[in-house]
Amino acid sequence: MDGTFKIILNKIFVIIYWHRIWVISMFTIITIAFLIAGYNWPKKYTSSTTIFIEEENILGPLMQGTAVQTDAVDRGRSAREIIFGRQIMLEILSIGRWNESKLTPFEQEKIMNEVIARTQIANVGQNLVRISYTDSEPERSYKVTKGYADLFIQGSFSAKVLESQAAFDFIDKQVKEYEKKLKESEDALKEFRNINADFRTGAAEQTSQRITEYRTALEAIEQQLREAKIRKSTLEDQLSGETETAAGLTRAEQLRSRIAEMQINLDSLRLSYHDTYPDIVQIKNQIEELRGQLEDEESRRIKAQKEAKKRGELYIDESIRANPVYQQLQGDLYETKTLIETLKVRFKETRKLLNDEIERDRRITAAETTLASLNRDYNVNQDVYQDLLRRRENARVSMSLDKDHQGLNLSINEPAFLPHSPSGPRFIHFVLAGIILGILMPIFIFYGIQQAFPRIYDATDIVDNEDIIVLGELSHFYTSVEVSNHKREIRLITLVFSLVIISIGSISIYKLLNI
Amino acid sequence: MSNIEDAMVKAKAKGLSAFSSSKDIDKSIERSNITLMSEITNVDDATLSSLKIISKESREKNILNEFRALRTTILQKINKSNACIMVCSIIPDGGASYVSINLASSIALDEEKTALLINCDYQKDASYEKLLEQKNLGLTDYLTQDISPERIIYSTGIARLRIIPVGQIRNDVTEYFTKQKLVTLLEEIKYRYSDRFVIIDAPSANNLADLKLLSELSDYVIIVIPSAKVNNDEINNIVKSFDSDKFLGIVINDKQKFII
Repeated sequence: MDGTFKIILNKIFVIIYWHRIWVISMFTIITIAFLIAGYNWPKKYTSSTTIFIEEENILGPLMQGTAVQTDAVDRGRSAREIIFGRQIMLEILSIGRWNESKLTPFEQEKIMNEVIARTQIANVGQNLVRISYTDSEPERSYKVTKGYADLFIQGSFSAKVLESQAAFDFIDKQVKEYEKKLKESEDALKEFRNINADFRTGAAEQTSQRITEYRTALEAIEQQLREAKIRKSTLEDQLSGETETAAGLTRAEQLRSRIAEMQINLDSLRLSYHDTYPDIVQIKNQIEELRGQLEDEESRRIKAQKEAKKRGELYIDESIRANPVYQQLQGDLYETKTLIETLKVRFKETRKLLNDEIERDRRITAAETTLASLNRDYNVNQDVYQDLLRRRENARVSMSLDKDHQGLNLSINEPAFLPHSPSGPRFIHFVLAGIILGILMPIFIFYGIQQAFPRIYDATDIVDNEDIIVLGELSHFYTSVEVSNHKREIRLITLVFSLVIISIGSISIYKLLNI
Repeated sequence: MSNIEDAMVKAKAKGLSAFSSSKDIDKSIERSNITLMSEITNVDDATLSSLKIISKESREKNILNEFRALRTTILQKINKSNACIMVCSIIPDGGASYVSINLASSIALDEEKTALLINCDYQKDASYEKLLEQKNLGLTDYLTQDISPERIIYSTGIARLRIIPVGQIRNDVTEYFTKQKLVTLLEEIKYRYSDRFVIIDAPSANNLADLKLLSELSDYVIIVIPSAKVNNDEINNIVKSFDSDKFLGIVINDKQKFII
C-alpha cells in the first residue's frame, strides 16, 4: 500500500513537473480568480431570532376521545405559513423600506420572493423556532428579523384566536345538529305514543294475564259443556224409561182426605171443648161444606161418565194425571238444553275475546321493538348531546382564554441582533480556497488526464507486454545553455508563485485591516 | 508486484542468458587483430556537450552512465561482434539521432570496438553532422554516384567513431534504400573491422515504408520513445510492424529530471 502510494506520488510529481508551465499558469489564474471573486462577493449580514412556542392544539384536548386528532404540528412549518403569508410579507416590505417607491404588483411579488428566499425558518428544538434573515445591509437585516418575530407573535395570537373560534364554532354546529337529532327522536317517540294509545307500560303483562284467564275460562266452559252434554244424554235416556202419566189423587179423594183431616181435628177439639166451641162449629160447617162438595163431585162424575158413554167419547178420569218424575226429567232436560246453548254462546264469545287479546299481544310486541329502537336512538343522541354541550362550554372557555392570550405561550427566546460581521464565505475563505484549489486542481486535472489517457512517462507506464523490452531510460541531456534556461524557468516559476502568494497575502491583510 | 520490479526481473533474466555467452565475446576480442583507425581527437568536451554527445570526460556523468548501461544491455542481447542496429523514433523529433550518436559514442568508448553511424534520416539535419569538418558527400551521393565508400566515411574527432552523413540529395531517397549497393556497402563496412557496430539513424516511425526497408537491411531494431508523448497502444502498434527477431526493445528518452 505504501509502495503504491509512493509510486502514485512520484508519478504525480513527474507529471506536474512535466507540465510545470501549465500548472503555474492554472494556479495563478485560479487564485487570482478567487481573489477577485472574494473581493467582489456581496457581504451578507444575517440576523436571527429564536421564538419559544408552547402551544396546545385546542381541538385536540377538546375532542379527545370523540374524534381522532391529527399529528403533531411542525412548528417551523406552521411558522413559515404564518410568516410568509401575504399580510405579514407586505408589512415586512414596508419595514425593509422596499416599497418606498411605488411598486407594481409584479415587482412587489418579485421582492417578496427574494426576501423569502433569504429567510430561513427552522425548528431548533421541541418548542423553538429560529428565524434568520440575510441581507446586504446589517441594519435592515436586524429590522426585518425583528419585524418577523413581532409580526409572527402577533399573527400567531390572532391565528390562535381564530383557531379556537373555529373550534368553538365547529362544536357549536355539532351541538345544534345533535339538538335537532334529539328533537327528531323525541318527536318520533311522541308520535309513536300517539299512534299506540293503548300501549302502556305493563300492557304486555296484562294482556298475557288476560290471555291466560281467557284460556282458563274457555277450558272451564268446555268442561261445563261436556258435562251438560253428558247430562243431556243421561236425561234423555232416563226420560225414555218413564211413563208420561201416573194415577194420581182425584178431587173427590182430596176432598175426602180433607174431610178426614178435619174430622181428626174436630175429634181432638171435642176432647177439650164443647160442641158449641166456635172452632168446632166452624170445622163442622166446613166438613158439611166439604161433604156437599164431595157429593156434587160424585154426581158430576157419574153424569159425565154417562154423557161420555152416550156420546161415545173417552172419558178421562181426573184421577189419572201426568207423571211427576217424567215431568221433572222433562224439565231438567229442557234446562240442560238451555244450558248447552248458553255455554256454546259463551264459548264462542270467550274464544273471540282470546283471539282479540292474542292479536293485541302481537301488536304490543311489535310496538315494543319499535319503542326500544326509538328509545335507543333517543338515549344515544341525548348522551352525545350532553357530551357536546360540556365540550362546547370547554371550547367557550378556551376561546376566551385565547382572546386574553392565555392559551398560547409565545415569547422571544433570543431577540434579533444587529449583525456586526458578515456571514457566509468571507474574503479570507475565498483566498484560502483559491490557493488550495489552485494547487489541487492542476494535480487532479493532469493526473486525471493521465488516468484517462495514459501516456508513457517512464518504464513503469509500459503495460505488461512480453514483446516490449525496455532497454534503458534516458534522461534529458541538458546542455549548459539549456541548464541555464531551465534554471531561469524554474526561478521564474518560483517568482510567479511567490508573487502570487505575496500579493494575495498583502491584499488579504489590507482588506482585513480595512474592515 | 509493481511494474518496475517486473521489468527488472525480466531484464535480469534476459541479461543473464546473454552473460552465459559473454566469454565467447572476450575470446573473439583476444583473437582479433584490431587495426586502430587513425584518430584525430581534436574535439573538446564542451563542444560535444553542446551537441548533446557524451564523452569519456563528460560532465554529465548520469547521462554517460545511462548510455553505458544501455550499451551494455544491448551488446549483451546482441551477443555478436559485428552488428547493424537501426535506431528509429516513434514520432518525429523523438530523439533517434540523439540516441544513435550517443549509442555509437558509448560503443566507441570501448577501445576494442569501433562504431559507424549512418545517417539515414534525410528529413532533418542531425546536430552531430556539425562534428564533420567537411561533408560534401554522403550516403545518398554514394548511392547515386560512382564513388568509393571511403569518400563518404568521415572521422568525427571522437576516437573509434565514424559517421556517414545523409548526403546532399534529400528527395526520393526511399528509392535508393532498396539498392543492392546499400546492401553491399553495409556488408563491407560492417566487416571492415572485427568489432564494428553499425548504427543506422533511421527516420521516425511515421515514415514506415523507409523504416521497413532499413530494418530489412539491419540486424536489430531499437525504437526510441520520448517521455510523455505517446501511449501504450501506439508503442504496441509500431512494435508489431517489425520482425520480432530483429526487434531489440525500446528506449525511453527525454525523461525530465528535477534540477535547480
